[in-house]
Formats: sequence, structure tokens, C-alpha cells
Amino acid sequence: MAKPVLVVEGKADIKFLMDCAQTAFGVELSREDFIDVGTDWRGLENNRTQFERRANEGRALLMILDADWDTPNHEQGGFAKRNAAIGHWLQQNGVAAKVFIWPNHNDNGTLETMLQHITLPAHAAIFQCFEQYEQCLRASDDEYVTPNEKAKIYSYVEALGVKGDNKGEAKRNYQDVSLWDLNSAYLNPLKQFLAPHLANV
Amino acid sequence: MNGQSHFSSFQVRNFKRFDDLSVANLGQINLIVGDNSIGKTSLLEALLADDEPMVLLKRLHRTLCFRNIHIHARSPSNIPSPGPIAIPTSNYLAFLLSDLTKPLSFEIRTGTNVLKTLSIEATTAGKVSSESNGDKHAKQFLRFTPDTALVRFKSNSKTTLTPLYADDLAVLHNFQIPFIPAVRMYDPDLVSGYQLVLAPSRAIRQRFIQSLSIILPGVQEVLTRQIHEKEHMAVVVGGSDESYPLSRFGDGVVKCARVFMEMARCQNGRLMIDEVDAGIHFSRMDNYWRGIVAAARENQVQLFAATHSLECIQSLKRVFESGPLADFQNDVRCIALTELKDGKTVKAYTYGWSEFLTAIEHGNEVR
Repeated sequence: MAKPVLVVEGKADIKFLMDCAQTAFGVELSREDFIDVGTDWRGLENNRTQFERRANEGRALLMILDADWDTPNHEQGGFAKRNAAIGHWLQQNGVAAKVFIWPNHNDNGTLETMLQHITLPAHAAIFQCFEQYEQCLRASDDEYVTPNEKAKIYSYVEALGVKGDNKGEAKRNYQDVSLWDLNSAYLNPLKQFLAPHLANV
Repeated sequence: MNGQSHFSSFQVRNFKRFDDLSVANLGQINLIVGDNSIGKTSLLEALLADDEPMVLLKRLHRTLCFRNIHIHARSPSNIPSPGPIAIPTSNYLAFLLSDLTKPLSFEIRTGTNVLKTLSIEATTAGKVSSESNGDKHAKQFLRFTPDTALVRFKSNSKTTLTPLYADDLAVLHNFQIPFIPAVRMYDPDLVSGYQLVLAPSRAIRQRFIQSLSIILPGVQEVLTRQIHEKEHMAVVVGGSDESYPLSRFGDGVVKCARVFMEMARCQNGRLMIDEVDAGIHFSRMDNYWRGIVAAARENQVQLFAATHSLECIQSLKRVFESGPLADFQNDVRCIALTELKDGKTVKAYTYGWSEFLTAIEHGNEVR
């Protein structure tokens, strides 16, 4: 069976899925097995030729994209709306693809929302400290921007002693069992999604 | 794209590994990418299509010479010409057509949406005479032996019959093909190119010198000079009184010279360049592309260039992304050749500027 092509939003997703595929299925994915549409699902529009090409090569297209949140700054945000919008786009453009929406194809959120669920319970204190930091910022008279989820994950990794480039989302080692639990039940929906395409590669 | 005769779409059937290859949405600057042996060079060769039979045959025949396949009609060496001509028994079309029993055909749309259909069919005098039904044109071949190889050429509704190898014997004034192969070292054709293209016009020579200075800084003059009884293309560099043969400066400079000379020669036409980046240092790539694009625009040349190199692709993106060429992004195409899941059929995918830019920016492979 040919390897599928995974369509994602960014380098962080690529690195995580490479590590997950290796651990869960023993499959080594390379950069050529991914199409990065950028930071927004609307980047699908500028990749139609890529999708057609890969499909004609006999490779399944697996789209793994963020749900985001149902707020004004996210177009068609939230699991239900985003899933429907992507499905509509695929139909309008005649693209055959399977879709999985981060964090777990059910809830709102992003890759980083999922990552928080696979951190180690033994280090839950790091997120409690971070929560206090956010409350402090919100309580201030000055209008500070509270950090996003990416910053939270970065702080987790840094607090556990990871150094240099390896802290960054493009180079993190998710197979490091002292930081991440790739056997977490939270990943079951993702693994069930990937299994038909990776189990027999 | 300004050239009225530039191709907007192109289809070729029964050529080398292409049973049927279509390329749509062509621009003025077309970069062809793909794996080894996918057919990049073959596509460049197919783009030599022309509706003059002798021109097309001669061009296609010449591509075999670049591959060191030399099958030509010639006078036997011990008989002074003009004299009898020895016609090879091999059919050179066998190296070009996938199936010699079927025609090689082209379907071309140009910028003004004119549709041209061309085809070349291998046949023999024997077959023609049995099909002729009293056709006056075909009757002239009755005097040939039945197995004499002929070529039936069709351009829209017009049909021409000609003996194979007639292209070797046809005298086409200053015939040169608009194709620069991947590897072509210094060759005396550059001298005849100089005489035909550069010598008559100071303005063209000045533009050529300016383009060549991208890779050979300080070049001030281009000329020919005799070195041991042979004419060579030469340049004057820096403050030197002396001219030096172009070949002294390496294959990258020779390639550059050939590219810019052919740009001037191919006005309002097409130019095909294989391995466009070969011999060019990465630090000069952006300026090299700027020079090529400037020359193509000035001469209204539609460019088809092939590459393997990611550096070359990224450089093309940088050159058009910002600066003076940003207004002409819509003239750029990236054409990727890939194999379908049957492992045999080749398909062409045309990326417009927006998709090309997105792919390069996000690190998605187009090759």
C-alpha cells in the first residue's frame, strides 16, 4: 500500500505526526509525505494542484487540521463549523480526502490542545504555575496579552530541561517518554483515523 | 505574455515515453521540474514543434546529435560531392516515436487561441504507392524502391510527403535549433551565432555584454579572433588590451553566453534550456534569473527551462516575489512531470504563481 499524504497546518504538526506514526505504527514518514497548507485551513485553496497530483499517484489524502474556537477571530471556528466547512470545500473542489480535526475530532482546539492532554500527570504542576501567571496578567491594570497555547507547551518543555532548538515545535522529540505519553487514550481517535492508512504500509 | 505565437497549451502524442502528454496554462517563463528519467528533456524536445516540415524534422533529428546518436545521410568519403548520397538503413524516427506504426502528433494553442495540429508519420514508398489512388504528389515516389523510408507530415489540413533524411540534405539558411542541452561545452556554433546575432548590432552586443557580466564581471567587449587558424568567440575583460577565448572562463560562462545569444536569436519565438542552472554558482543564481527574464521579456521569447535543483526553483521564486519583476508574477509557471500510479503514464501539472509561491514558502515539494 502506498503511504498516504498528510495535509497539515504547520511544522509542529509534521513533527508530531512523524513521531506518532513511528511509535504507533512503526512507519517512518518523511517531509515529502506531508503538504503544509500554512497556519490557516483556508490555505487548502492554494494547494489544489498538489492534491490532484498526489491523488493521481495513488496516495490517499489525510487532512489533519485545527478546529480552533467558535469566536469572531476564527473563521468557521469550533469543531462542528470547521468540520462542515472543510467538508464543503472538499466537495466544491472535487477533492477526495479523509479529515481529522485537532484535538480529537470532537472538541474545539488545536494541536497544542491535544499536546496538553499527552503531557505527563507527574508534571501537572507546570500548568498550574502557568495558570497563575495568566491570572496575574489578566488581573493587571495594564492590558497584557495572555500567552497562547503554544507558549504553554513551550514552557512545559523548557521547565523539563529541554535545551536549544529541541524546545521548538519543529524539532521536539515526542518519543521522549520523560515528557510525552504517546500511548495516552486521548490519542485513540487519531490512531483510529490513521490506522487504515499506516497499518499496512 | 505578449508574443502572439507563444504557446498557451501543448499536447504531444507518441513521442518517446509520452503516449499522450498535455500541458495547459503555459506562461512566458515556464520552469519544468521532475524526477530523473521522467521526461523533462523529452518535453523540451517536443516543444521544438514547428509547422514547417523540414524545420521540424531537422530540429528533432538534431536532438539525437546532442544525445550522440548520429544517423545521417552522407556522401561516401571516397566520392567527391556532388555525388551519390548514402542513405542509412536505420530509421532515426525509431529513436523519437514511441510506436513507429503510429504518428507523432502535436496539438498546440497559441496566445491568440489559434489551434494548430501537426503530425509526422513514418511510412514507405511501397505503402504510399499502394495508397496513392493516382495522387499526383504521391506518384513522384513510385520511382523509389518500396522500402524507401518516407515521412508524411500533416499541418492542419495540409499534407506533405518527403523522404526520410531529406532534412539532412535540405539547406536551411543559418539553421540553429532553439534548444540548449544540459551539457554543451564550447563549440564553433558560437562563432556563427556571434556573426549572425551579435555582430550586426551594437545595441544587441551591449545587452549581451551586460547579461554576460552577471557571471563574468568586468566583461567589456565580445568579438571573434583567430587562434591557430580557427575563429573563436572571445571577450575582453577588465582593463586588458587582449581578448581571451570564451572557453577559457569555464562551462558556466559558455552556457551563459549561449543562453543570452539564443535569447536574441529567438525573438518572438520559444527557447528551451535543459538544466538551466548547470554551471552557475548559487551566489549568482538570482541575478542569472533576472538576466534571463529580462532577455526573455526584451526579445518576446517564451522560455521553457528544466531543472532538478531546489536552489534554482527557490531563486526563481525570490526573483519574482518582490522588486521590479513582482508585477509579472502571472507570467510564471512551474510545470511538474510525475508518473501516475500505473507506473508508466506521465502527467504534467501546471502551478500558477500563487500555488508555486505557497509550495516553496511552506516547503512542499513541487519536483
